[in-house]
Amino acid sequence: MRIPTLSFIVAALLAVPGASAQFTGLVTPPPRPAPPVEMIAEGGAVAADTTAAARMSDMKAWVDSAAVAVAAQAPQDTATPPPVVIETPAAEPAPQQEVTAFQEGAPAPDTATALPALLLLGAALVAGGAALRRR
Amino acid sequence: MRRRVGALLYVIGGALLLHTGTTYARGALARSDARAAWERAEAQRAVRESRLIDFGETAGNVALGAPVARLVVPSIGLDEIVVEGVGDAELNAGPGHLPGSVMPGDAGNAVISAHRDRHFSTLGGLQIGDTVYTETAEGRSSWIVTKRRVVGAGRPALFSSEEPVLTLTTCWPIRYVGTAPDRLIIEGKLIAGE
Repeated sequence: MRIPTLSFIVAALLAVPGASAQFTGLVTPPPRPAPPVEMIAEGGAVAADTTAAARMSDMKAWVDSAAVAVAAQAPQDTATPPPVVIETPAAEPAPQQEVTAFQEGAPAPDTATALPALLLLGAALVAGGAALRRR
Repeated sequence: MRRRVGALLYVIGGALLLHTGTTYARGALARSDARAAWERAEAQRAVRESRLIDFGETAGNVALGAPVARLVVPSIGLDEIVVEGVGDAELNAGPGHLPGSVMPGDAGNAVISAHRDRHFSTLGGLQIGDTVYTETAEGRSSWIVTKRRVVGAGRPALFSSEEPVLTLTTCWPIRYVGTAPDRLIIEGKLIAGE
């Protein structure tokens, strides 16, 4: 058996335990929160107001009256689109601080390891090297 | 040229395989040593001996790396010797008992952590209602899993308790490319101790 072929087989066998910790069938994203009820109601109100404005003949009078109404009842004005609330994403969690002893409210000990990924990468590189040398 | 690139990949890949293989092999040897020490001294005597041995670096009265407990979870086929400490060397050898937390069975929160790709590779299968057994120098305890949650790596996860609580932690997701961003926290309530 040629050395590249043998290396490929050995690398593949070595990578099996580590590779099993790398892959998953499905990583489900967190459920998307349903839109608040207030926003849905306001959306419907906007459509209704727009339809009503199209039926008016004296647009200048309507605009003037609407301006007065907006100034007087700004908080209840459904013709104004709801303010766009830009939700800033939650801040990235701070880098895992080293936990060496129990403390109240401490994060879990750092059990994260890159070894399986390194094992997989090493096996892939050896396999790639074998493939290149075979040609 | 192509052969040279192939050779370079060979060397780099070989070095990575050597590094990871050596680390896993050292962990397997340390794990075997811990189990042998535990079984040879019959649990309680091993713990008492470990408390008398001075390895230079100690956490409280227990030397880091010393076997302090046995953890058995029949439902997921887990049977491991727990060593003191949660450093790289300790977690490579086996599940680590977090220094400063109580021993399993004592009043308070006993925290045991391990890597997802080694000793706690099956911890994701542990469900609420499952039974966990621990054995220390003080005796044996039975626990029932009451909580299971996933938190971010840097988020608060460990809290003190007046009642005996067993907390098992590992990285989450169990199957993940790279360093896992979350932690699986499983808590158990004491149901019997001797």
